[in-house]
Amino acid sequence: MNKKLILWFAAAAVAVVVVAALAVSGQSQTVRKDIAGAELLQLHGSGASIVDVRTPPEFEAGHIASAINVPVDQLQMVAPAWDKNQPIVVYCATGARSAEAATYLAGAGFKKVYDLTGGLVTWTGELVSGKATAAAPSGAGAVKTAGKPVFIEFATST
Amino acid sequence: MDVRVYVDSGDPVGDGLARQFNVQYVPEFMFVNADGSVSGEPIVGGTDEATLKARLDALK
Repeated sequence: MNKKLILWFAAAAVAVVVVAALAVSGQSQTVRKDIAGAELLQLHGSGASIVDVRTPPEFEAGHIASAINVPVDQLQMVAPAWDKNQPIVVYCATGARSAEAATYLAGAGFKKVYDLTGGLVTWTGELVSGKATAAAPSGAGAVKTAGKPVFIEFATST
Repeated sequence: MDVRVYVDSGDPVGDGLARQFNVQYVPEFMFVNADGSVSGEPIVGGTDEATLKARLDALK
């Protein structure tokens, strides 16, 4: 094989590698990361939504301030309405349910998903008690409108 | 203004909203501004005409 042919193959190989690297870097990356409590506070300070995936009674007994309560078994019904670019921190009691929730969210296309390692057991910060309020975090709480105010009634047929 | 009524369960949109906003009792009334933000606290249970009108008038 002559020298020119070798150089041509080398150049072609480099080009393939460069094109592949550019293609990968162009894709939107999903971040799914386990975090500690201090990082949760930083993320919340920078606008991340905090989602408590425990049951409502657990939530009412004590939760991280500003968290909303979406039990892990209801996440698939609620999360599709959320902004997938909004960073989301999930937590539960020990980390098992939040790991499941984080896996689901990352798989559903949420770009930045954070899971509180070890759950509330490891949390040393303040907890607040009481029901969730209607003031859900940005991206998670907004109701889709057609540019007009909306009046919503939840009712029963009986 | 849009008026949306979600009756019982079975409607994925209504169910999702009810869970998102922790609706536990019916009837419950929610007021949403044009930008999608929730206006004030929801009204749970019955209410009178004056209260309802004031809350609707307050929507932006």
